[in-house]
Amino acid sequence: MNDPATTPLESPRASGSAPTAFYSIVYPSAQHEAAAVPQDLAAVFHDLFLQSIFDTVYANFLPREQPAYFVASRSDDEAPYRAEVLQILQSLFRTPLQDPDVVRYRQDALRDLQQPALLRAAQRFQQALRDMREHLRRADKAYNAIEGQRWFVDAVLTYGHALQALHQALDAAEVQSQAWLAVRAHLAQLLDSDAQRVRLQQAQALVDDLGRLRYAVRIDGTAVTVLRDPAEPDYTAIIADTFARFRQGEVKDYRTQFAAPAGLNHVEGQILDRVALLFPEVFDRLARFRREHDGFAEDRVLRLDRELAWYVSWLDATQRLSRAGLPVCFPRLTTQQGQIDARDAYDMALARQRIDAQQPVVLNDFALLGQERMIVVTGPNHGGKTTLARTFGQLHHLAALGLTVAARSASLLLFDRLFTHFERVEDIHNQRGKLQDDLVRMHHILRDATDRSVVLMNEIFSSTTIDDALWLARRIMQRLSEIGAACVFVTFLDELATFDAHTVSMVGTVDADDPTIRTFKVVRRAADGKSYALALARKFGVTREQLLERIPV
Amino acid sequence: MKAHLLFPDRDYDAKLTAPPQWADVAQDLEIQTLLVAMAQDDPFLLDVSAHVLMAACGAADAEVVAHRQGALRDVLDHPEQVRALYALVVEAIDSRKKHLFGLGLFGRYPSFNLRGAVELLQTFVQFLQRLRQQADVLAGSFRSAAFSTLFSSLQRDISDAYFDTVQSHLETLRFRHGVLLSAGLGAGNAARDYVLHADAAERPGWLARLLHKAPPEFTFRLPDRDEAGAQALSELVDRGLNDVANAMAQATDHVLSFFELLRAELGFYVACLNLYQRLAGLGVGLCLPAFERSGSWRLSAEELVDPTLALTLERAPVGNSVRADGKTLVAVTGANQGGKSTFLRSVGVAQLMLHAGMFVAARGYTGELASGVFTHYKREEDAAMQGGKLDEELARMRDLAAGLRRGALFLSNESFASTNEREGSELLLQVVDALRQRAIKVVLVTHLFDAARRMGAEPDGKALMLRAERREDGSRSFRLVVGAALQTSFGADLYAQVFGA
Repeated sequence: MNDPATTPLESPRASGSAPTAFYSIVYPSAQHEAAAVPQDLAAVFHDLFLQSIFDTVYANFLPREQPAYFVASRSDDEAPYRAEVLQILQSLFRTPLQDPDVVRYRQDALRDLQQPALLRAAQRFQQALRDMREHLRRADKAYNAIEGQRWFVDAVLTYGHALQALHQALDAAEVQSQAWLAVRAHLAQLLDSDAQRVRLQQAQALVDDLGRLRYAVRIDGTAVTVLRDPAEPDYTAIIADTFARFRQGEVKDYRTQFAAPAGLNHVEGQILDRVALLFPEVFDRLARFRREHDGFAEDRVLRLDRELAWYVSWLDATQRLSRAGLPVCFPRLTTQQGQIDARDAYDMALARQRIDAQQPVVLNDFALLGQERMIVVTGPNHGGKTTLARTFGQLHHLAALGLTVAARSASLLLFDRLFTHFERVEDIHNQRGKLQDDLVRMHHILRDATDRSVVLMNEIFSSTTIDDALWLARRIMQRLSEIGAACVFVTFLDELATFDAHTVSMVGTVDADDPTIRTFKVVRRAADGKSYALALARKFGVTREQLLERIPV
Repeated sequence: MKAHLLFPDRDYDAKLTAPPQWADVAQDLEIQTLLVAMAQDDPFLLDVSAHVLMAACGAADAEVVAHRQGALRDVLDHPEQVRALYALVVEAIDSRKKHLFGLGLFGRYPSFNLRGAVELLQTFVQFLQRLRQQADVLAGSFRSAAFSTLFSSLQRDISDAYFDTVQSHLETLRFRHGVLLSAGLGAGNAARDYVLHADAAERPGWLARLLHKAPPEFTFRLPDRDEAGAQALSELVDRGLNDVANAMAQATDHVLSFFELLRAELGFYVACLNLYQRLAGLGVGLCLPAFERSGSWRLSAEELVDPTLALTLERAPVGNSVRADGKTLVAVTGANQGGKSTFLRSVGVAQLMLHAGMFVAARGYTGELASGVFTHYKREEDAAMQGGKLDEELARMRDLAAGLRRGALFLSNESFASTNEREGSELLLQVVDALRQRAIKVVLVTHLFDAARRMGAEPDGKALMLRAERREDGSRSFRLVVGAALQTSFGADLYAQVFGA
């Protein structure tokens, strides 16, 4: 009996299925894109360090700092492009998918791209399009029309070769994802089309013919004469030959290095204009080509170039984690509760910092299986409790984007919404205000959460008495239990750990010998009820007994 | 265009490293005195001479020695012409100081570099012509392979025809009628692959162009005030001239390096001339040595003198005649300050000068080539010396052993005198024995009577024992006579001399 709601989403073998028309590499079709609605997740990103993860992974597209005034200013022409891509990436990042088909679409595409040959081909494709954009910019900026026409032809050639190269790579690699198969078919169609074929042929012919041309220029004072190549021998060679007989050994190279110019100056431009008069046929063809082939780059190809960054940068970032020995995997997603199970998971943002500082990263498991719905995490301060909650949240959000996650294996919920309620630093005088804020926020969450939601709470109600906090927390937990959302509740209130049948207790552990040392391992276990604060006080000699001993009567 | 005066088949190499034993050899044989006389205040000559003698303390090459002796014969026959030739080369090298370009002040602008190089080369070429003219004059009367090759090479490579070609190029390179460049089109239709042309073809006149009988050409002029345009144009010209300016600059380097090589090679012979004239002026007998291959155990000389002593005393010192053919050991004992060290030095210096292809300070000399010259001399007491003096001597011996080979010449002056006679003798005998068995010739001076006695007592007749003479009245003749060691060394004589009878 095949119940689609409980069957984990596996990737189908794509052989035999006809490739659908290519739309985009992150959405199978326009309808799928329309159905995916971005959410306002600023608070969630802040609490779960997801903003930090985004900024690290997609750092290349963040706006660059302006150089200091004393650094020679260089115009950054790629900035508009990067800004465009950043917008696309931001939009994708804050749109957790609801449709398992789209998740599968993206996971399959990412899986294919993990093949080194295909990844390299994708990167080369991006580089080629970057070159094309550079050529087009120069074509626009050129003061001399003929110079601009030439850059335009180069742009067309670069574009054509980029398509060919990517298509070839896709042919050679074993791609199975719907996305890449569609790309391949789309490229084949483009390359086969008459328009593209003719255009590429003409462009190549123009470049070849122009490359074969030789002309001469005579400069006598301020008079410049442009004429055909005189077919005289290379005078430098004659000179070198004349004096070769005195050569004793290696000598210095006195040649001057000339900087690469930004474009033709007006003298060079005037010379070029006259070269065109010497060879009218080729240059007429060149001008005509420019007129006829505006807008040669196809929309979907340009979009592919921009959206590739989504995967390529993610791969780069996760490969760095793998190289440091940390696990990364494709998660399985279900729309039903009671199947959450992650092994050796970790906080990606924290892991990046620890790797840079060459410190170890602690891996933890978590699960909510069967009837379990809420994990209550207690234990010593700074013992990894909040990190566990963050890890839970990060894994879920990133899985819902169709990406790989930071765990050895993970079965996760494809949520409809993810709510966070983390402690905010508040003004100490505003105690009553803070509690009220906490409750209002909690109220909104309870109103909107469903049995397909994820709710993460960290140290709420810390600004009131323990009795009050317990009373309030129990009410909240009752409501959440009725809703049936998957929850993680980090708290110092050990009593909550045994709330009801849906509750799971996890505890941050300490070193067996020295209770002041945290291991950052959080495990399933009954709450301790221990006070770790006392052990710390003893270490510093400020328990009561110690103080009584030290202070004289 | 090669000089090849010092070697029949290659150039003089200023960068050769010294054989490890050179520092000691130079110090012990007082080579500095010799070098100063060779250089006559010219630091360049000092350098070259030091270099050649340094190489001479390594293995000798019969062909090189013969080559140089031939050249030296020519030099001694035509001293003034050789000095004049050397002076001409020095003048050529110094001429570059008159040009900014010659002092290495080239910049980033190919057109300036080209002009500078053309002017410098113009000067150089004139010196080349004068050199060639000297070759014309001297070619007939110089007979050695070395100089014949040099002169014929100059005549062939700097012919009148060549000179005319060079002049014509130097004129073309002034580009009085403009610069002609051909180019292709690169990215953005910018010019690439500039090639310079001599613009030799006939330019069609305006009538021909009017009647379309000439290929098309299009001309424009920059307006007078167009500074940006003028700059752009000059940069274009610079790009076109970049390669030829480089070629010309390198040409000046080539010619200069030729002059410098010629100076070094001629310089050595000028230095030899200086030494020859000095020594001859002091009355020292000089000759070109005859030599046989290593292992022939030849050593036979008339009136062999220590040239460094002559230079110091400024007169011809007493010479010695040596008959040591077939001997693997020559041992000198005898009176203090009787000329023993001087004799040792005269043997060593003669061997070095033979290797260097020079004359030697003797009226007649027939020797053999060695695989290297090595010295082991007594050193002065050094207050800072660590360990004992004997330690130091043995360490030096060990270092020498690393380089000693069959056919070497080993000179020892009072080795192992830093310990008592019995021990010292034993050490010395062991060393000498081992070296002789390895076919190394040993010439030594010693006070160790025991060792000397045993050396002299050998039945095979391969040892020559010499003694510093002491006359009846106690004075020295500074001549060595053949004879076994005597027990005492007549220190008593000296004592009496110094402290009064």
